Amino acid sequence: MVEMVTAYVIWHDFLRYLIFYPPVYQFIIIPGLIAALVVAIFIIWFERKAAARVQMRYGPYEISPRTGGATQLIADLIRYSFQEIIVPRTVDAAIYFAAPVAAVILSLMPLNAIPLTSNPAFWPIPMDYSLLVAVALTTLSPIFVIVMAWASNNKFSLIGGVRESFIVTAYELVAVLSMLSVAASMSTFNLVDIVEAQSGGLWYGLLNPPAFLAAFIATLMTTSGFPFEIPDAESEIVAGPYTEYSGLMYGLDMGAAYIKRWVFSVLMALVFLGGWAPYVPGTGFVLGYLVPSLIVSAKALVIMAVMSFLRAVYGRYRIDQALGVAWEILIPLAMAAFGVGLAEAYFHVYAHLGVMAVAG
Amino acid sequence: MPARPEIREVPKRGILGRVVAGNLEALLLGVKYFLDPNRFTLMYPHEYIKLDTGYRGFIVLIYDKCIGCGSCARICPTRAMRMIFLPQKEGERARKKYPVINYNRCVFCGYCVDICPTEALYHVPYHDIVYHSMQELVLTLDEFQREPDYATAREGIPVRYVFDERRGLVKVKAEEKQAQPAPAQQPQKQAPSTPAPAQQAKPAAAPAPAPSQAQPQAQKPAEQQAPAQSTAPSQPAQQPAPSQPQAQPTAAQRTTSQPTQPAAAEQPAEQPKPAEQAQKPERAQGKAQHTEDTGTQDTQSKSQEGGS
Repeated sequence: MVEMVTAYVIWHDFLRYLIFYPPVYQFIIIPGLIAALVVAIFIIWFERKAAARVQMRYGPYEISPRTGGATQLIADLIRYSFQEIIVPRTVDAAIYFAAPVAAVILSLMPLNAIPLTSNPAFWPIPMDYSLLVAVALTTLSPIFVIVMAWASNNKFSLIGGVRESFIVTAYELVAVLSMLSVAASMSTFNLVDIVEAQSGGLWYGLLNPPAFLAAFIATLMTTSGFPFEIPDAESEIVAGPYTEYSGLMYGLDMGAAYIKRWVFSVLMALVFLGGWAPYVPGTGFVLGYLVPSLIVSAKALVIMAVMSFLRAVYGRYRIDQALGVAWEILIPLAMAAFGVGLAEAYFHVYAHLGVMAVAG
Repeated sequence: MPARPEIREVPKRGILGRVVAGNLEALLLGVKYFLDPNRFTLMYPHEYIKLDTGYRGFIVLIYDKCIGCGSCARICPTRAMRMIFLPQKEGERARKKYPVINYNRCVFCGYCVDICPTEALYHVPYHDIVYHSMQELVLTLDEFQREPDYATAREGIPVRYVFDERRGLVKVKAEEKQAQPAPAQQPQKQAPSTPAPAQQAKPAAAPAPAPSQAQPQAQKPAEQQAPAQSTAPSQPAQQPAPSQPQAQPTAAQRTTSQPTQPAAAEQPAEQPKPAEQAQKPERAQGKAQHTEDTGTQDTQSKSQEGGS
């Protein structure tokens, strides 16, 4: 018996096994590349408008006054896409081109390790150790920023790369510890269990605010959010590790930073803000996958908006101040958050809700 | 009673005080401004700052008040102001000079306005005017008497910056009451407004009656200003003779001066001074306009006298 290979079958299989296959779908569409692009455009616009409001200006306006200059970012995107890519003669060309691409892809990787629904049909990977895998994957991309800086063969790039490496060593422990304190508190690495434990409205960010704060500040540090915009400080070192990049390659670099921030925001929305918590995923693609993923995206968007709002308020720390904050304040804070998580586990804060079984 | 600034201890005590209180204060201030923004960007073509009279903007000449003393040209630190002769009858000495200005050089210091003994020069309270070429910045006597067209005021809203006790620098709409102090300078305002209709009326009346009519009128203000002028005593003798010959060049120039032709430039070149002859065609052509303009100005002043 030979099955007919019709156009319909090919198209259906293409959609079913390639586009809507969860690992690909999460990587490419929501919350991956396309959603991240839309979010980046919105967030950059919001960042400019919010900073302008606070600083008594208007921000982007004239290009379309009715929408508050919202199409300015589209215009900028088009400009970046069609700008000439100038490659200096002294760069190490292969690594120079490979590093931004690798940085973008590795920044997107953690999105394949997170669930956006409780329906197992739509998990990209088995979820038993998903939190650990996701947090581990977020630590991969910074090395490529340093590689970019080295391959650029430029002193500004080099200084930016060194600063990036300082910052990475400072923030990584904070981020990992504060994210994993939820595992200490719930005795599980399974993100689905973690989200469902918070479905009663008892968000982990409310129960363990130090962990949330530490994760928030660590995210700001890793993505050069404003008080810690140190590796690519425009007024000191031209664009830091991205100095020699132009056109679309520079867009990739900036995109990698924004994707990293987006990934951390999604992760924080799942861990600290209850993920799709008020909503109980149903069956089918729309009710079981799309709606919860949009809820998670909305929560992550709020986190990103708050992060970009800080640009309006803060100045830039020096590298020594940022490292001081990280090593002297944030790491003790993350330790304390881990301790709070352990205490919550001891007092069975989440166990009595009956959602999950605490070992012992 | 000056407001006393509130003295606050800026470095808070203890590390927690510094970190927590300082950050919270900054964030709350940011949120406050985010929710209630106090934006004072000047949206320039749509809004413009309404400046007070007394602002040193572009300079305008009131022809009737000018006695041709040349103080403005002498005080001018950048030599932007120059005195030019009005074209006279051939072979005769020029009677009087008038100032023209070159805005390529002008620094808007206002010395010329200050020094003018008869207040024949005044500032308009605006300065944002666009010219298409550097040549246009060299004004002719005709253009020097007109207030430059303020296109921004036609399209934009006038605004004003004031200091608010609570909110600091605030942008407010300028009231029209601010325009009231202007009537004190009413006689000045007439000068720029009237030339345009006078010029429009002129070509209609020009062909037939102009040679006979314009000439006596042209002599009239010169007689009025005679006491203030050192060269005046020679005028009464000139008066009867030049009436016919001088009118004809004016009429000829009127026809030829519309296209930019050096032919028109030849006519005022019969002036005694070689320096004047060496001038460029544009300037000479502008001078042709001056002749025409003196005629209009004189008729206008005449009509004003008749009215009063």
